[in-house]
Amino acid sequence: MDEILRLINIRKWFPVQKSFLERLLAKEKLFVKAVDGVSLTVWRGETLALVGESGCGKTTLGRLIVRLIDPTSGRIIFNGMDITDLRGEELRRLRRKMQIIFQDPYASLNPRMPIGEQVAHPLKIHGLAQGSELRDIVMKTLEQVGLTPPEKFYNVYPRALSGGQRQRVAIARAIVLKPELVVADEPVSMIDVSLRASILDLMLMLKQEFNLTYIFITHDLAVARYIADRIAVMYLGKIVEHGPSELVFENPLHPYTKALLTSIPVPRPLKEPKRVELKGEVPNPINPPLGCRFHPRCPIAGEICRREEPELREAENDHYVACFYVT
Amino acid sequence: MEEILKMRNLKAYYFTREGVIRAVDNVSLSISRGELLGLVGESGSGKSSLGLSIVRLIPPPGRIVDGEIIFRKMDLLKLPEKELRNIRGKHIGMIFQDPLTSLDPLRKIGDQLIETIIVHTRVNKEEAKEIALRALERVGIAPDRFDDYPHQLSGGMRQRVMIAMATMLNPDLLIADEPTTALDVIVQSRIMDLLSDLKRSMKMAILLITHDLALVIERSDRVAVMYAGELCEVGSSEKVSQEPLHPYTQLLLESIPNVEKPRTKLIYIPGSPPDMMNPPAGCRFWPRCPKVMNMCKSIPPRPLELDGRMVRCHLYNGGLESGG
Repeated sequence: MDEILRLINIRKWFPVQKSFLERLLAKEKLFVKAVDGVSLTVWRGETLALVGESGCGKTTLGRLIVRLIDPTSGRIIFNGMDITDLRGEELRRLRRKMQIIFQDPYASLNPRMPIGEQVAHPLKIHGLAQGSELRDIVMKTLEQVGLTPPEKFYNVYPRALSGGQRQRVAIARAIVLKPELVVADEPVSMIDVSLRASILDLMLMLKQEFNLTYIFITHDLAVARYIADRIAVMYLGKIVEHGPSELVFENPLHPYTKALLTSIPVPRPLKEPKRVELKGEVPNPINPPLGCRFHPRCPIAGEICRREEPELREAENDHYVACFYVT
Repeated sequence: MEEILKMRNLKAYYFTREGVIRAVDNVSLSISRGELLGLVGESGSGKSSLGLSIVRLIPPPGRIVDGEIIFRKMDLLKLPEKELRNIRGKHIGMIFQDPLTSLDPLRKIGDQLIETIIVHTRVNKEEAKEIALRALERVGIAPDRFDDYPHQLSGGMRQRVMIAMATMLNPDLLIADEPTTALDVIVQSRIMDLLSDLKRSMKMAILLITHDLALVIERSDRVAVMYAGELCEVGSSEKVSQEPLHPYTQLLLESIPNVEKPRTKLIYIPGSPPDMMNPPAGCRFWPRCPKVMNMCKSIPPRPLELDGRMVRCHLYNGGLESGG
């Protein structure tokens, strides 16, 4: 398999804003440890879903990957090249190869620009096309994302479009540069239920057509199962389990993954629900618990979990878990 | 089971400058004691307007135009505002999606609970505090949280405080509009367990309003599906999920990914929900319906009672066998 992206022990700590007086009095600086030591390899042509609850760091990790924010430490390797410290022109050239789609199609589009121009914009910035050639590429891209006939949509402003159509524009803008990697951050969570499936299928189709690699960030495990080849489960800034989709869903190993999976409502259940109950709620990421960060809520935690932090290790073929009690 | 609430031909419209939005159009629905009824629909279907109409809290330019809402043998639409205010919060509890906007950020949660109790009952402050503490205990909030401000609680805890507030006076009916949408799945599942307990132990009737069909089917006794201001199907959760009658329900069920199944083909509903200012003539779903017939485009289907269920679709004019 061909590696497209490798993260090596990535951390992102956001400093906690304090008042002047607090800064004078307190010696110790506080940080929100949004991403706290993630190592992961993404293979070319796959869809990797990053799943977890709000605050687990999945969105921060997505933004780190496309270099919208800088990591506190760690390395990001893209196509064999270390891109962690790229700046200016080099970073701009990198953006042609990796794009991001955001959750809110009402906020991510420019309300004062016709959608044809918005899709043309990236091509202009990178000086890739102009004139009638530019227009042809935009038309073709609009068609590819299902905004047909494209002539009808080219001069339309975002306000005239539904949420689903806006997200198609955002997708068009992301793929028009023919990127290799697309990070999609909750791309369907604000879309009407009846239209979600069509956006997911559009993304699967485009992936085939352009040989894309997706990092798909979602809190919705049913959506993750539908779209992803591989799943990485995050909890409090760390990956607690990852592996091929089928293995993670059919044989979840980490107690947190088990709790997540058994909490999801299933419309027509195949098996009797056996819920794994958790104590409490996700702790504050400023001071994550010592040892395994999941231990205060874990139904099977033992003595060692309070003292030591478990590493990810391969429990079965290509299926990794960070838990002392998984054999 | 005893019917606690019965709506008949309820119409609630918004009179905007651009035109009239028929958010709730001729809805008839009832809820029984100890029943959890799930009202499901997409955004703009009118489900929240329906919930607000029950307690006459529909905001202007919205107005209830017609119909009746019978609750404990009274027509809520004919009641003076003063009497209605006593019913809200005491006999009908309400919880909404975002607990932060429903709690006063500047006051301790305990004080807010006590005030609600004193407004609605004749107890003194000591007794009110006891009721409030018991209500918090029931939703799993420790007594030492009594003097906390809302911002000191997590999202899940705030929603539990809201549930405590809405249920502490033992209402007959609880209206819960997207109570778990802002929460993560593990917390959602715990909140839903709590609602199920209240339903069983206090024989409370619960109207759960949500866009999440999977949640509704897993947790409710009965399901009502709303589309473009109308109910298109009502029936037991089991029947609606196993054998949906209305083409919209059928498609909706096939369009949600199932976490138990790998990539099974999802079906999606073509087009978008209609412009509520100008809904299509005939059946409101026909432009998106795969089973559309000629009559659907001009004649609005009437609600049909079949096998203990309601469906609004011309496919079933000749009974169950002719449909599907």
